[in-house]
Parts: sequence; structure tokens; C-alpha cells
Amino acid sequence: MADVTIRSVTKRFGATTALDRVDLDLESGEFVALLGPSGCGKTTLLRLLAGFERADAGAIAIGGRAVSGPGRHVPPERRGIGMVFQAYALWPHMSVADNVGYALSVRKTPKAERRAAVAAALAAVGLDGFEDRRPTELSGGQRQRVALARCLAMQPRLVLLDEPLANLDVHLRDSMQAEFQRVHRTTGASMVYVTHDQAEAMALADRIAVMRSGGIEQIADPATLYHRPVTAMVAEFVGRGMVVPVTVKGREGRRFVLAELWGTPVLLRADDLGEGPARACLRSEGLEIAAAEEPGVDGTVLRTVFHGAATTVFVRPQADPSAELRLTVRDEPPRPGDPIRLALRDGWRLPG
Amino acid sequence: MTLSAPAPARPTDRLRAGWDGERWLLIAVTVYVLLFCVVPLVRLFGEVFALGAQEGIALAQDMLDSRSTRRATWHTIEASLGATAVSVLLGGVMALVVGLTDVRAKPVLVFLLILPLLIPAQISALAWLELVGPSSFVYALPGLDYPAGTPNPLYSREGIMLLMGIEHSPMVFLAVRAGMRALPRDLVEAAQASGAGPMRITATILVPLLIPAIGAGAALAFVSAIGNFGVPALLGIPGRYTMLTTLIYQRLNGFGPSVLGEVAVLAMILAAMATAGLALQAYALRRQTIAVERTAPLGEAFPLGRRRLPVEAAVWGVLLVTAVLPLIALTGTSFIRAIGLSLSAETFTLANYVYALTTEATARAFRNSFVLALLAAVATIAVSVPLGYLVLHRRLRVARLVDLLADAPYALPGIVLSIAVILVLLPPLPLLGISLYNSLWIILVAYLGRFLALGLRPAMSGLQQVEPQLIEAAQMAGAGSLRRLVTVVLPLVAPAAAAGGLLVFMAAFNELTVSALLWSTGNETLGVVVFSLYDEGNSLAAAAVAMLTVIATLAIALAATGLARVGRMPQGVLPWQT
Repeated sequence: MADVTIRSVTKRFGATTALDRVDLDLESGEFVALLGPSGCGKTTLLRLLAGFERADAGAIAIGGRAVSGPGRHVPPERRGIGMVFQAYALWPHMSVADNVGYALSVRKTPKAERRAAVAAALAAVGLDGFEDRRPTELSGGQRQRVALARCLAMQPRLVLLDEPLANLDVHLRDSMQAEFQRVHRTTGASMVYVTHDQAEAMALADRIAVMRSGGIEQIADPATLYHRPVTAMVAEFVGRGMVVPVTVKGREGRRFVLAELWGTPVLLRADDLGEGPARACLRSEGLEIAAAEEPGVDGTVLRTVFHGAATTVFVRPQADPSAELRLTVRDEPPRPGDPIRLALRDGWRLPG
Repeated sequence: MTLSAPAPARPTDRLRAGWDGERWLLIAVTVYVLLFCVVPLVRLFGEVFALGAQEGIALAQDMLDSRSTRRATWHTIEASLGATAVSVLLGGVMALVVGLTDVRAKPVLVFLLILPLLIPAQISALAWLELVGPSSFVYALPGLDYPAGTPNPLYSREGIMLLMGIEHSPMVFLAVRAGMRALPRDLVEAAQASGAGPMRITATILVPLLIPAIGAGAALAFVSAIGNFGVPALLGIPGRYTMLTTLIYQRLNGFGPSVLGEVAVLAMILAAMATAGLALQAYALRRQTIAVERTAPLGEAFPLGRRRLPVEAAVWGVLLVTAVLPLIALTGTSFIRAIGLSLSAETFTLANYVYALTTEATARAFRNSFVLALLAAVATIAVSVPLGYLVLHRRLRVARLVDLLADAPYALPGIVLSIAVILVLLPPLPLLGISLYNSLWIILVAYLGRFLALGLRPAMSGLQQVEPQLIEAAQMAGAGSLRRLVTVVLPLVAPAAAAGGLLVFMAAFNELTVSALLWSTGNETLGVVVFSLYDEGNSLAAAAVAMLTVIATLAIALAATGLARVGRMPQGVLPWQT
């Protein structure tokens, strides 16, 4: 049975609708990322789960217990959920041990037991022996570990993470990502992770819910999202897919369609096999420079960006000068202004 | 994934669950504010309009028809406008000079400019009377002689204007400083790039932009002036220049509670004038928000160069007269053997201090004022932190309304609140059957209402600095509202709340306006003792008591400043920190 059930939840702030009839289910022990641009409603959804905001309509149940619904709102302090905040939110007037043990002292856990739990939680995040430090004496990464330990000491079945890496620099992020994954494996807690960074979401989550203007566009595992996006927004937001117009001419077996891209015949993966005008999602690694005499999309090289191992080449197709295609080239790249012909090795036909 | 319907709610999962402790807190805070801030003022209003609005207005008409009321009202307006002009000139010019130029020793200058805020009106008046009076040390200077046989020139309309003006100049100073902080530097730099010099920039850019700030400060100074009692009491009563505050005092002192109905009307006239002033201030503050991108602050935009020394000399000269010399004169008086002598080795004595500390009445006044100030400070802290928490972090609508109401007794003249408190407490208390009138506790009741806003503001600005996430984190850990208040909010706002408590202590310890109407034999406050010692002609003892008060006040101000530094408090918690 689902650990978290969100049913048709709506939240309005004045005239704006932050969430519009959102449905979402979390399996027990699942790591779900809420991904989307700012203003998409992901933080609002998290705060509704935490109980800081009250839903205008719909119902939320956590661990089989209804926490939110018509005429019912369990306050955050009675939900037993852990939360890691973006700015850590460590209490500056308490030691690390007091921070981590706070929830236990609220529950009136005996002192010896509390001390052991605090030590275990600190050990779990690699901060053994930091009990007597003050939060101000710690680095950003250490503070976020303390915040995580504080949350773990509660032994919550659900942990909410609100962009917890946004305040850390790049190399710290990698090690904290590993930390979150490890903690997720060892505790078995369900986790909901809010982020606007799709790479972070892909690296961490079992499933990703991509959100846009108050609704969930698609919820799926990272590979499915990348390879089989259901909307243009998901295609573009996850992995910077290129959405292009195509005309589907007919099916090719049960999983492919034959289509025309700017007059060039292409083969696309598809669930939706219907014929007629449609859109396709292309990835830069699915495009190649066409071999001699091979048919393809003709265009002009706009600019190139050198990345070391490879070079990204930006191409303007002859047939539609307003479009821009990207491909990754490992050999000697062409120069800006050069004519170029592209062959499509992989593409996905967007449904609908 | 099973799509089971949510399980039924437990009985405790009601809409308002988790609100129980908070509900009692809200009730307690609301009752406190209603009792001490709202009920007295409502009672005063009721007294005037009890017979119906028309009769109330008719009564006011009668009062205004009487010559003494008309004259006192006119005097109040006239003297307060004059005083406001002095405040704007002194506070405004000094704010510009200190804020924009590179004069040295700014912390000292700011301290001297704010000093009138710390020293109560009756003591400033006393000090000035000594400075200008016949036995002042200034007449030792060649060419300066006191015109024999004439009364002290400060016993006059102009004297009152000058002293009230100086007394309230910090309000304009602080308002203009705050306004200047909101001005971006680019505006000045753009003018400089257009070739304008400092004087032209000040006249054409800065002063026009600062008009709302100056207006707000002026309105506040005006409201303070109409409610001032210390200056018109010490200067106006001997000078036969009666203002509304002194008229109320004389009526009530002369005829007792039988004239309460009459003085209630006078108090309402004062309250109406104050409300008009406060409305003006609110209007000015609203206009202050300029829609410009904030960049670097103004800073010392105008280095003075060769003119620095003359400007510094002028500033120090003014401050010497307004802040330093009166206190020196007062100090001198407190050490001389007899009135009329000038201070020298032969005339020096500590007898006045011995008298101040050992005479039954003055020693009692020290005790009374200390106890009253301490109780007022502690109670105010105890109420303002929870109230601020409920307003800012729990966003309870009731609490927000309560917060608004709490401002009224401090915004209105103190004497208005005194009359209101007498009206409420003169009849015996219900259930107990005793009257608090003629006891120390009536003064405490008035202080609790009067100074709540004074302590509430620093507590609020401290609470505003508390990250909401810190409180939310405690909530996620399972802590209920009261526990969050005690374990997270309270430790974080403790320095600001304590600073607010010290402000309340300082104000209550020095206070005269409220207690002048409420004191009774055995229940004198320090302010009352200074005033009555002077009134009896014992200005030497008055000076000694005043000096002791000033020293205690400055020590507390120092402690509050230290607290602000230790607690790394934001600017604005203490009014004199800019």
C-alpha cells in the first residue's frame, strides 16, 4: 500500500492557484524528486506534506493516516515527518547534540537513550564526536549533515528535503548526494526531494515528478523521463531535449514509426503510433554528422562549444531557420558557417 | 500501488488540533492589553460621551468657551509649533551634517544629540534653569551679568519653546537619519556628475527627498510637545503660561477628583490634537517609500576639506550649549552649600546628596520608582515576546489587532492615560471592594499600559530577525507552539527583549507626566520628588536627586548598548543606535 497518498490536492494563494488537483502516490521507502522550474508548485506541495500550508481541497494521507482533508488539518508537529531545510535551520543557541536530540527531548525520551540516538545519528552522517560543537563553528557541508542527522534521529518514515544542496558549492554537492543515497538505503525511509536541478534529481531519485504551473506533467523513473517524455515541457526540461515538428507517415512494427523531419525520412521510437503531424524529442547524442551520400537534415554550423572530451555543435537547419539543433562531436568539429548534414540515429515521438 | 481511501481521522486530528496551549497564551495576552491599554481609554471616551454624543460635544463646547481652556489650548498649539520648529532646525541640520559629511567623533556627536531623549523633561528644565539662572557659572565670564531683579528668562513662552524643541529634537534627528538610510547614493552621484556642488545637491535633491522623513519627525515632535508636562510645569507655571497638560494638573490638584469630568474633556482635546499629529506622521511615512533600486547607502558623500574644522567647531558649540552646559550647571548646583553661591572649594558640599539619599520622602521615591520600573519592565517583556510571536510567527488575526491596540497609550499624551486610569480605578475594584486610587499600584497600572509599546517594539524587531525555518524545524521535530516559543524563539530574542525591558525601566524610572496626577503621600516617584523639591524652593536637593537619576539612567543606557552589541542585535532595536 502506498505510504503517502495525495488526492486531488488544490492550493490557492489569493488569486493564483499554486497547485491544481494534484495526485501523487509514494511507495514505502521510495525516493521521489519533485522537479520543476521556480513557481511550478513543488515547494508548495512539500509544505502541504509537512503541514505548514493547508490544502484548499483534496486529501493527504501519510502512513495510512489522514493528515489533511475537508475540515481536517494535522499540524506539522503531530505528523512525525522529518525535514531538511535549504538553509539548514540549525538552532544557533544549541549545541550540535541539542539540535540533533531536540525531537527526542520533545518526546521525553530518557537521557541515556537520547544520547545514544544522537551519537548514532551523528555517526550515520560521519560527524562522530561533534556533539559539543556550535552550529556557527561548522562548515556549510557539516551543517547540512547535522541537519540531516537531526532529521534521522527522529526515525521518521518520511523525510522531506527542500533543495538541501542549493547552498553548497559544486564539489560538496556530489559528496552530499552520496550521503543522501546512503542514508536512504540504510534507513529505508521514504523521501521527497524538491529541486530545480534535473541532474540532481536524476542522480538521486527512484522516480521524478516533473511539475509545471501547479500540476504534475509526468511522474516516472529517470530513464523513462529521459527517453520517453510525455510532453514537450518534460522533454525540454529533462536533459535539454530538442522538440521538432514531424509528420508521421506510418508505423514500423509495434514500437517505431516512420516520419518526415523537414522532408527527411526518419525512424522514431513511439508509443503513439497514429499518423499525421506530430512532435518529436531529439537528444544531442542521437544526432550525428551524416556519412557521405547519406540522406539527412541540411543546415549551417552556428557556433561550437568545446568541453574537452567532446564539442557541442549548434546547427541551424535550412528548412527552419528559427530552430536550433545540438549535437555532440568527438572528432575534429566543423567550423561556424560550414554547411553540415545531420543524420538522426535516435528520436522519440511525443504522444498526442 | 493501491489506491485506498485515506484512513479515517483520529478524534484529535481536528481542524484546530495543537492549538490548546496557544489559545491560553492568546487569551492571557489579550486580557492584559484590554485591561491596561484599552479599557482606560474607552472609559475616558465614555466619560465624555456618556450623556450622548451631542451632550459630549456640548460639554466640550462649554469648556472651550471658558477663557482658561481657550487660552491653554492656544498656548499648547502655539508653544508646540514653536518647539517643533526648533526641533526640526536642530535635529534636521544635525542629521544632515552628521550623516553626509566627514566630521570626526560621530559616535560622541550622536550620543550628545540623542541625550535629550534619555534625560527626562523635568530634569532638563531644571538644568537649564540653573544654567540661565542668577547663580550660574556663566556669569563668571567677563561681560556677562545676570540682570538683577528680573525673573529667569526661561519662565516664558520662548523658554518653553526652546526647551521643548531641544527635548524633542532627537525625534527629528532619528527620523531624518532613517530617511537618509533609504536614499541610494546614485542620486547624489548623478547630481555630482551633472556638476552640482554639495549645497545645491542638499537643497535640490536631498531635502526634497527627505521632506516625508522630516515631516514624520516633526509630527512626532509636535505630538510629544503637546503632551509634555515637565517643561511647562517647571517653566510655565512660574511664568503664568498655562498649557493643557499643566491646566489639567492644576485643576485636578486644586479641586480633586470632583473635576474629573471637566479634565476628561481637556484630556480628550489633547488626545484629538495628538491623533491629528499621528495621522500626519503616518501620512508622511507612507510617502517616504521611494520606488528606486537600492544601491550603496549615502555614506559620507560630502568631504568637508578645509572647512571641516569650522564646521566641527560650530557643531560642538551647539551641542555644548544644548547638551553639556546645562548638565554642568546642574552638577554644580548639586554640590553647593546654599542657593545663590557659586561653586568653589569653600562652598562645596555633599550635603545635598546626603539629604537626597537619607530623607524619608526622597529615599522612598527612589525605592518606589525602582520597584515600579522593575515590575513594569518585567511584565512588559513577559507580554511582548509572546504577543510578538503570535503576531509575527503564528500570524493570528486576533493577536494583530491586540498589537495595534497596545500602541494607543504610548502614542497619546501620558496625561490622557493618567486621567483614564483614574476614571477606571477611582471606584472600588469589583469583587475586591478596594480602590487602588491613592496607592502605588495605580501608578503601576498606568505604567503597564503606557510603556507596553516601548518594550514591544524592540521585541518585535528582534522577533523579525528570527528565521521562520528555525521555528518550522522545531515544529517538524514535534514541538508544539508553546514549546517552540520557549525553546527556540525565547533564547533567540532574549537580547532584544531585554533591551526593550531596559528601555521600559529607564522610561518608568524617570517618568513624571503620568505619576504627577497619580501619586499620593508615601507613593511618590522620583519625577514627582524632583518637581516638588523644586516647587518648594529646595533646588539644591532637587539638583542632587536629578543628578542621581541621570547617572542611573545613563548606566542603564550603557548596559542596553552593551547588550545590543553582545546579542549582535540589528540596528533599530535601541532608538539611539543609528
